Amino acid sequence: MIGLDTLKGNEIELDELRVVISSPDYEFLLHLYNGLQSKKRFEYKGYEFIRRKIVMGEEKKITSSVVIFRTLSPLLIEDEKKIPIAPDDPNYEKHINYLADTILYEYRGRGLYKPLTVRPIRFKKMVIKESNHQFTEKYGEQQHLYFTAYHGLFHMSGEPADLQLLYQLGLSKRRNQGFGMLEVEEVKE
Amino acid sequence: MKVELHMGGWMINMGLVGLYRVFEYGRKHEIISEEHKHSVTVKPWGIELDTEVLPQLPRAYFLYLLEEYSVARRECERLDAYIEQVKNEEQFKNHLTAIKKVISDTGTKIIKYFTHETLESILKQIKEIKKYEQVHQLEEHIRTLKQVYSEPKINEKLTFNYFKHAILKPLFFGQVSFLNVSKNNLDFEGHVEEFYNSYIFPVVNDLYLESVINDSHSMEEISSLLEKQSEYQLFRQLKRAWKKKTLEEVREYVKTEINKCLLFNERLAFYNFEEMVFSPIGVAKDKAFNFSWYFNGEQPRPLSSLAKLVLLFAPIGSTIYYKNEGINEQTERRLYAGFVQTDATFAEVLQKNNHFRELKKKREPFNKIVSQLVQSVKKESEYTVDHLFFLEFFSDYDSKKTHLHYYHLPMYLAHYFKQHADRLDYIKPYDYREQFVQSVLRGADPIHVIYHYLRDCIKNERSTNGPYIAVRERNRILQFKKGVRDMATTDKRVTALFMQGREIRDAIIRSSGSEKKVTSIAYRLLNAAKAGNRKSFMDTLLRIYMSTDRPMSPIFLNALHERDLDFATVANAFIAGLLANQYKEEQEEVQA
Repeated sequence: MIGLDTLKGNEIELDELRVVISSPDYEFLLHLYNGLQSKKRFEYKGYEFIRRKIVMGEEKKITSSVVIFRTLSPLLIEDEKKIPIAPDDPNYEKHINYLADTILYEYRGRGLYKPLTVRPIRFKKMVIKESNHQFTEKYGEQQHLYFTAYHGLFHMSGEPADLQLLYQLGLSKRRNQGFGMLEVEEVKE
Repeated sequence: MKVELHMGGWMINMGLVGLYRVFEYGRKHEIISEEHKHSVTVKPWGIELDTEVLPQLPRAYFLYLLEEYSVARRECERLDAYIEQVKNEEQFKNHLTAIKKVISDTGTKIIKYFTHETLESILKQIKEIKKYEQVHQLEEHIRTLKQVYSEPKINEKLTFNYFKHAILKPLFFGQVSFLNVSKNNLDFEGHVEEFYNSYIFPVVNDLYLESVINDSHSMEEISSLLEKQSEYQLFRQLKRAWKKKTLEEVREYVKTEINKCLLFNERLAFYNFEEMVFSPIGVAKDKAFNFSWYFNGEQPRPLSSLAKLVLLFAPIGSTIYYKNEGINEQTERRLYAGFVQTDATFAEVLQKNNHFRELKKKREPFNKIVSQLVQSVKKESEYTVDHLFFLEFFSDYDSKKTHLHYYHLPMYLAHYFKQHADRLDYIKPYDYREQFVQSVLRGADPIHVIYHYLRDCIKNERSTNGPYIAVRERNRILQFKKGVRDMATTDKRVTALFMQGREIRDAIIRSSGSEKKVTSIAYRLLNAAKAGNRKSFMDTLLRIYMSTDRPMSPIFLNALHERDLDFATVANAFIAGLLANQYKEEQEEVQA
């Protein structure tokens, strides 16, 4: 995540960068941690990163079937034709359910225990501009990928175990590119 | 007449071992007369008994018990121990109070039965002793006291009281025959007579009757026997029942109407297996509905007088010892009777039990006993070892309560004990070791003992070398069970975890400067481990490692997938390391 300082053209100037990684899998986390331990300096596209402190965040325990999530990184929800779906779209909930079901199935071999209901509280549209080396090779440096995603707060209900896992795994397309990280704002009793 | 006493269940084997021990004792001390010294012979299947010797057994029985449980000997040893302690001037006051109590307790018991001027005056004089300067006086008194205790009459009375009321009655028989309170005034000869009347006399008659029925050619012989021994209640009944019967009819009657003995199958059973015969598992006759024989509610399980007699020797065949039950503050000291049962020959059963008794007398811990008893494990005797088991019970006749434990010794455990039992000696205090070994023998996971043990170590800041050994040995046992015999690799893993714990401990203490943080982490980890909460355990662990900024060994992943070690081993080995104080001697022991 980004402590935003100043924007200079296509570059952002920062004093420090905090990366949050969330996973339900301790094995993955252990290897990741050990990897970070063994390497203190990283280079990426000519930038240099020095690893500072690694801490474990507080994870909230979801004990009830209703929670309010805040997005730490925007959610990217698209339909079958890769057209972004906005939270006020009547099919938004359907697509969220499909996505959540797939994510859970991939992780634990079983999809949702119970369908989710989603009620947006406040969402802000956010267009993410990105590129990667394959895209650059094909279209050149000047072209970019654009993703229409949404940032905000929403109300979600479902099976607590499902919600806990989605909280740990993230809920979005392109999760490994940093989309869809959630934070629990409130667990409703 | 020669009778074959075949081995059977543990109960009867206990009796046979006891019978043999009493006979041997009697023979050695010439209580058994010269002509009968071959009356009891050991056979592979049990004992061959010449019934001629039976009348001599009661005397040997009581003399044996008298020697085994001599109160005089015990009290003298106790006084000797006390007098050593009392010589220490600083501790004088404390020990004096204790010694006075012991003396007055025994003294009152004696005075209850005997008038004894010397004793009374000594008891009075001992009360006057208050200062260390009087220690020589005290020694003098104790010397006299030892003589008083050793007077045959006094020793006999106190010892009889002890083995009757502390052992025979509560553990084995209840208030039967000479154990009944109304027989408390009997002297030695009175006891012998009571024993003879209620146990030997029926056996002699029953066996005689059996042989007469089998061998005689006319009814007269039977009738005259019944006539001759008419003071035997049973014979009077039979006489009435067989009055007008022919020999054939009597034989038919015996075949159809009289049951055969439960324990010695060829003997006629005129008695029942009930509480008074063997109280730990017997039930009162009229209450034993679910034990009825052939679905006949009127008939409990039939028993011969011979079996009844043999069972009377069970207290001598078993080994009697005190045992602490429960962990920590909830321990209760109870008197247990233990026995080693195997499918081997009688000679081996006898030898194993003699060995067991010797080891218990030396107060050897259970693991030592087990390992010594299985020393003879060889490939060819695997069958025997497979069927070796320990049995122990505590029983209280008055509260109708019995705790009966069977400890089977499967092959893998036999091998384990043979190779590694001495390692368990590092588990201190003794209670934990005993608990550990017993749950292993019961086929249970000793993990709960380890949890208690670790908690105790956190609370009382004890050395955690013991728990570490316990964790390692538990893991070894698990490996043995799986068929792994080479412990090098898995031991290395356990040690690695322990060492990880130590390193982290150092790091935490260096950064925070206090033990407290370590303690709280240890508690948290222990709770997670106990609850089987792997996630919470890993969570805490990751946090600790992050705070100390060290890489975390992948061996911890076993807590999740248990490929090489089980979760409990991972957790407990680490916790033990986390709590380890660094003393030099410890490190040496850990290398074991």
